Amino acid sequence: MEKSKFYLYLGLGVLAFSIIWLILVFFQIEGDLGEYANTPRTIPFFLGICMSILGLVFLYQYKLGFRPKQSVEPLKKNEIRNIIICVILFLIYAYVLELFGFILSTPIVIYFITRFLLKEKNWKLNFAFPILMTALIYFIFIILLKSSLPRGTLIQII
Amino acid sequence: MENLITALGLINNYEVFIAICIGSFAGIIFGAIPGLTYSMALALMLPFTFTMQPVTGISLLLATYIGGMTGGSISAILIGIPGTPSAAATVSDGYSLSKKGDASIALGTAVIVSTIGGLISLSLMIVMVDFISKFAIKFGPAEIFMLVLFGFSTICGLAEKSLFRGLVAGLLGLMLMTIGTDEIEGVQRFTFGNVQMLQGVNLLVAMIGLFAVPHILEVFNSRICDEDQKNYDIDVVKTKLPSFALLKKYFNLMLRCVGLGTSIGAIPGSGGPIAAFLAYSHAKNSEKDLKEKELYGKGHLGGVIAPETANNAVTGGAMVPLLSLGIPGDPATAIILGGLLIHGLVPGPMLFIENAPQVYSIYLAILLAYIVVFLFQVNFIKHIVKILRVKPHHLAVGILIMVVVGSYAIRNSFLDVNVMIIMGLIGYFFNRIRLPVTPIVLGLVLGRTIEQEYRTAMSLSAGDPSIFFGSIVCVLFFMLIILTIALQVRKRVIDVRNQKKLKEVNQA
Repeated sequence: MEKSKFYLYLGLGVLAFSIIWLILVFFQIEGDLGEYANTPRTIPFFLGICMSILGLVFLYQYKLGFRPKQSVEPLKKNEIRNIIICVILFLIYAYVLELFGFILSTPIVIYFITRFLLKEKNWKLNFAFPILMTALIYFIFIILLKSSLPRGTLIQII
Repeated sequence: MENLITALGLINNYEVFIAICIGSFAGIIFGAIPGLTYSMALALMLPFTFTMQPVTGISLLLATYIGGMTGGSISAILIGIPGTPSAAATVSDGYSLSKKGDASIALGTAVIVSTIGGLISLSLMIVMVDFISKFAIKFGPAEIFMLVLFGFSTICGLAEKSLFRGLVAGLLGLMLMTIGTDEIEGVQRFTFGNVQMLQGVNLLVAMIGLFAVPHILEVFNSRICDEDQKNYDIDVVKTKLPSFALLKKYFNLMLRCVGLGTSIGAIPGSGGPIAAFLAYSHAKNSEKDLKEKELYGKGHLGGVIAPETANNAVTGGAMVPLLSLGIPGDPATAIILGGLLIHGLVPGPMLFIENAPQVYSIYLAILLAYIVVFLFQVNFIKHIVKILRVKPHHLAVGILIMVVVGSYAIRNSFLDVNVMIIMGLIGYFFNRIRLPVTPIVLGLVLGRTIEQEYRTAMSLSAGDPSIFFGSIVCVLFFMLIILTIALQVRKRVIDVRNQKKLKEVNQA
């Protein structure tokens, strides 16, 4: 049986993160650790130390030949590209939401997502879904719950 | 009595009723659809409680929680896939009954025992919360620190059955909570000079990111790769309530399962699935009639009654440490704790002194939510199951809209959307490498209390750490922390030994 490298990567990742964190503790927080271990730096410093200990524990587990109970699935084809596309989508929607408000931006964004990204071919659904979805959220949160939705900075409809 | 009358006044308005109806409906839907969770529903609802009155907002969240816990049984019975992990124990007998053509009676039984289980556990909760909070009011900063640390270690250890991985996630949550302005001395921490970062990581934004975004990314990724996730086409179904005689026959079992569910729910980190499986196994083992016993797993109503009673009794149990000590037992109660904090209701013993009417209105909201969930499931089940036919990618688009609108609307800040995306990516990455996400949320929720109580205790003792071992309560919690860690390490060592033995057998 081949030796699993899961704990090696996990240990190295956790250790690297904790070292960066500990460096930031000294550069991003004013003051010192204090005579009584009771300053704004104390807890972040302690957390960094705990994290690095956990990193070392994982490396030790790797050395002992530990294997994770559930195997980690390998990356699917184009998974990273797809995730990046989704993140960009989130950012675009947030940006147009800020500019044009909920009522205008939501149906347009939903249409583009369902039609072009998710390749929905049913044209009735492509037109009805964005409008119904926007109307439903508006009805629930503005009319029923009397909550608020983004109004937009360029054009204000609600 | 005076508090109860005030609470009745608080809850007696149409906004609260609408909030409970919406919450119950959303909870049932998110609970019923495999892949969606009621924790996700709670995270999505949270930003919209911002502008509501405290009681209305909390009622919305509680109804979502209760609806979600009950709704999980729908898909477990009709399609054999549990909508929530808590409904997994219902699958074998529920789905077998469904295949025999008894889906209606299985659904009806699940609904009514869920309601009965939830309501009895509510009464137990009221008694237990009152008792524990009266005891906890004597706690000082050192005791609270040790208590929260104990809750934290239990949750990290039990949440995903791996202490070290749980601890990594928990520590990450605590680390994220230190970003922003230090509340005691007003010093900036990890802000990189950005003014918006002074407020730190918003709890709600983090929860939305951690619970909802990974699901969207998964569904979109599958869809773009032309690997559609499944939707479920279900025939028309009705709910048929069981007869009084049948309920009477199983009433003793129900009471035992309520006790089991409530006590397990009260232990942080355990929760619904454990209670449901234990109740199922208890029901099967306590069956004296051998013929009946053999029917378990092949379509026995007892196999639906026991897990459904227990997992709904967990809701009452989980509220005990939440309300009396401020320690959430699972992701759902962590989100509800977030909701309480937004509205200035700080759970713990002082809650009962400072906000007694609100506490009573929480009890009334739970009662009302159970009634509404019951009515929805009995009368609208045929409409509810139609939602299972909706394609997952359409639901994901709806969730995407909710997460962006929700995280932006909290502080009208573009930074919050970015934080939500980063938290979502962390959640997705953690899911991929099988690290638990729940401890991150608990770290975020409990982080502030841990730091504040630690520093207050250290100030009181002029830097002498022996204050953390200065009382019996502190020592008791310390022993419990050590015990939790020792048990987890022991379990892992046994696992590794078994793995090695297996390896040797394979090689031989």
